[in-house]
Parts: sequence; C-alpha cells; structure tokens
Amino acid sequence: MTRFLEVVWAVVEKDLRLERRAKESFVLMLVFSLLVLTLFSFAFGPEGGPSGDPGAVQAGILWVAFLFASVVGLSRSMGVERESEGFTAMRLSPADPSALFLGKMASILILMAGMELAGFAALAVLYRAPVGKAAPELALVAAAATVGIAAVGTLFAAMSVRTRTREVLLPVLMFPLLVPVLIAAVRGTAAFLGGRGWAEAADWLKLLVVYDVIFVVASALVFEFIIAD
Amino acid sequence: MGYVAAAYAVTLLGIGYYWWTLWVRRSRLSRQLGQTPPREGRG
Amino acid sequence: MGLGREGESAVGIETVFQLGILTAAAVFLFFALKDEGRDRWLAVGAVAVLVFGVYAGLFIAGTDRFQGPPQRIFYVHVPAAWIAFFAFFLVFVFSVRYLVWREERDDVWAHACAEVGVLFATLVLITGPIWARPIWGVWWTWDPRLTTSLILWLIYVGYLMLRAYMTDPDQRARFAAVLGIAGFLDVPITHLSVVWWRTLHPGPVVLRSGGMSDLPPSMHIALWSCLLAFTLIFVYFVRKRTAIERLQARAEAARAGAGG
Repeated sequence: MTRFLEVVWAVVEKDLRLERRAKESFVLMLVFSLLVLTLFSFAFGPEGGPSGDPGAVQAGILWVAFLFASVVGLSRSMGVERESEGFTAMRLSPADPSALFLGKMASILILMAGMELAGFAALAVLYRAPVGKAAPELALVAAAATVGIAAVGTLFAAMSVRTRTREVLLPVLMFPLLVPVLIAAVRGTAAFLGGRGWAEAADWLKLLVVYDVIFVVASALVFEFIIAD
Repeated sequence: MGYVAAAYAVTLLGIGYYWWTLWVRRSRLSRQLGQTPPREGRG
Repeated sequence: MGLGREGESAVGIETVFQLGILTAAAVFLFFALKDEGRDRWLAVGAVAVLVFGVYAGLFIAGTDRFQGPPQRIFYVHVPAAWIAFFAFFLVFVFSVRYLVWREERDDVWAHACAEVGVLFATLVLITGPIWARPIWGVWWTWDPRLTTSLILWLIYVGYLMLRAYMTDPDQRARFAAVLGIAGFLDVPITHLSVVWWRTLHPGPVVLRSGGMSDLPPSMHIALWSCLLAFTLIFVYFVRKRTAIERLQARAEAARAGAGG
C-alpha cells in the first residue's frame, strides 16, 4: 500500500516541480475559468435568473454549447494543417491569402451550420423550445452569429495552433473577442423563441452584421501575416 | 473610509510592485551581461 | 481638523492616511533616485505628482454629497481606466506599424504598452468593486463600463499569454500584432453590446455618466493631477520595460554567440 502511495506522491511532486509547466497550466486554467464565468453571465443575463422567460435560458444554453463546439471544430481543422505542413503549402502558394482564409472560414461555417441544425433540433426535443415556429428567423440570427464565430475563430485557430500550448490557447484568445456575438446571438434567439420577434431582435441582428463585416474583412486582410513563416 | 484606504493602498502597492519587478528583471539581466546597467537615452 | 459634518472621522484617520502617503512617497522617491539620466527625472516627477494627486484625492477634493467618502476612489479608478484604454490604443498603433514596416522596435513598444496597460486595467478591476461595495452593498454589478473593462482585461491578458507561449520572435511579433489589432477593433462593438445588454436589465451604475462637467474645482484638481501622475508613470514604465526588452535581446544574442 505504501509503495502505491509513494508512487502517487512522486508523480504529484514531479508535476508540480516542473515549475514552468505547472505555472503555465495554472494561469491558463485561472483565466479560462474566469472567462467562462463571464460568458455564462452574458448568456444568462446579469441577474442570473431567467426572469420568467424560458426562451432566454434556452438561447443561452444553445449558444454557449455552440461556442464550445466551435473550438473543437476549429482546433481540428487547423491541427490538420499543422500536421500536414498545410501552413507551409499556404505560404508557398501563389494564391491570395485572403482567398485561402475565406476558404478555411467557409468550411468551418458549413461544419458549424450542420452542427447548429442538430443543436436546434435537440433544443426543440429536449427543452421543448418552439423552434419550428420561428425557424427562418432563428436561422438568420444563427447564420449571422456563426459567420462572426467562424471569422474570428479561423484567424485565432491558425495562430494558437502554432504556439507551445496549441489549441488550449484558442478559447482564451477567441472568447473575449466574441462577447458581442454571444450577447447578440442569445438575445436574438431568445427574442424569437419567446415570440417577441423583430421588435426586439432587429437591433441585435444589425449588431451581428456589423461585427461580421468588420471581422471578416479584417481577418481576411490580416491572414497573410499568420501564414507567412 | 476603510474602502477608500484599501483602494488607494492597492493602487500604490500595485504600482510599487510592478516597479519592483522591473527593477529585479533589469538587475538580473545586467548581471547576466556582466556589466553595470547602461545609461538610458540611446537605442 | 476633522469636522464631523463632512463625514470625516476624528483626527486619527487623517493622520494614518498622511503617514501612509509619506511612507509611500519616501519608498518611491528612494527608488526613483536610484535611476539614471532622463529616467531619473521622469521617475521623481511621477512620484511627486502621484503624491500630490493622492493627497488631493483624499484631502483637497470635497466630499461628495451623494456617495460620501467612498466617492474618492473615483480619483484613482477613472484615471487608471483612461490610461489602460490609452495603453491599448497604443498597442493597436504599434501593432499596425509593425505589420506595415516590420521594425522590431514597434513590436517591443507594443509589448511594453500591453504589459503596463494590463497593470492599470487590473487596478481598474480592483478599485471598481472596492468602490461599488460601500455604495451598492455588492462587489460587482455588471455595470457596463466595468464589464467592458473586464473584457478588455481578458483580451490583453490573452495577448500577453500568446506572447509568452511563443518562441519564434518573428512569428510571435506578427501574431501579437494581429491580436493587438483585432482586440482593439473589438472594443467599441463590445462596449455597445454590453450597454444594450444592460439596458434590458438595468442595474446599479457605479459611475454616474455625464457627471464630469458639474464637478467642483477641488475635485477637478484631484482628478487631473492623478491623471497626470498615471500618465507619467505609464511613460516611465514603458520606457523601462522597453529597455529591459533590449537588454534581453542582447543577452540572448550573447548566449547564442557563446554557444556557437
């Protein structure tokens, strides 16, 4: 028994002694958890409680789920590039880097669209959300939000995959910048799920569109600096 | 009033702490380079 | 000396504060004088203005009618926020410059501004709750300005982490520049979304907006002297930080040379 405990203790000692790794992990975890706490606040309203609107909670759950899922997809998409010398290929190719960026972004967009379709369906089934009634409007909000996530996500995934901490850094970089998208997506989705329609959602949709324009253009322009060696 | 004291104290301590880290980093680097800290203003 | 009407306690508290200020002044002055050349004057000047600013905030500025003594936190909280924002604007400028002209010094300056900016942003996030607590009874109210400050802090902490986790200096500079640009572009839209989000569920606002012009002169003195102090400190810290970066580059070059 003591031999067993000795081994346990030896591993703990070793891990925490590798000071740099342990310190890095600690900081990463700290920042990440703080980030998630703030994200939940944006998703579920500052007062925490649903204030009698189930649509708001459903929307919050949905978009937090989508955000985390996007990290998974983006990490893999960029991980593949790193492993297959894809970035070298992009750098050496005569193609316009912006085009390469839009291509990567579009592929993630398609993946996320499929995922979100399933997500909304699951929401309708598991949470009895009135998805069917406002399907086209919900799709519009989702599309606008997803474009923003895809743009910022692709850009930062390309960066984070080349760091020492790899994909682990991606959410830490991405999520703070996506706060406007999260807020707007949740509010817009909640508006349609709650039957309050365009009166409430219009402004949020406009915000999403402005965000998309700014960040798709900026990211496309700046992508060449990411793939350059 | 304790709150005011705390806020001002944190501010001064925060500034002082960062200043101290700059000093420590600087002296460690100068020692590594084997020389006394160079004069500022150039470079 | 300590009239009860103004909310000031008896002589004891005031003396404690004054002693505290003197101690801090002495310590800071000591280190400022250890510096050399132009930096020494900058440091001494910064310490002097800082001491005056703190004194002004605590003793010269009149007590606020609505919030009472805790309102004095305003004189360190708001200038810190302005400096932090200015710092991140500079990160943006230097990041753009770096991507356009690829000069290493722009990257060095961006990094330094980000680091000092995070220092001031941290002070904002600490003094904010300390201010909110006696006024509203809670530490955090998701007040729009403070919330935006939190997001800003997270963005630039991410910037520093990105830099820390990369080893290739050229790649690191480029990636950091991209983040420096994207992060700053995000700020206005983030603030707007947070403000809208908050209007749905209005809550306590720590800093009443539009209240700047009707401040009495005594409060202006405290506010602007603290701002000047923080500006000088910012410039001083950035200068020192960039000097350290240059020393580091030389140390690395020396190491590489010795190894080869």
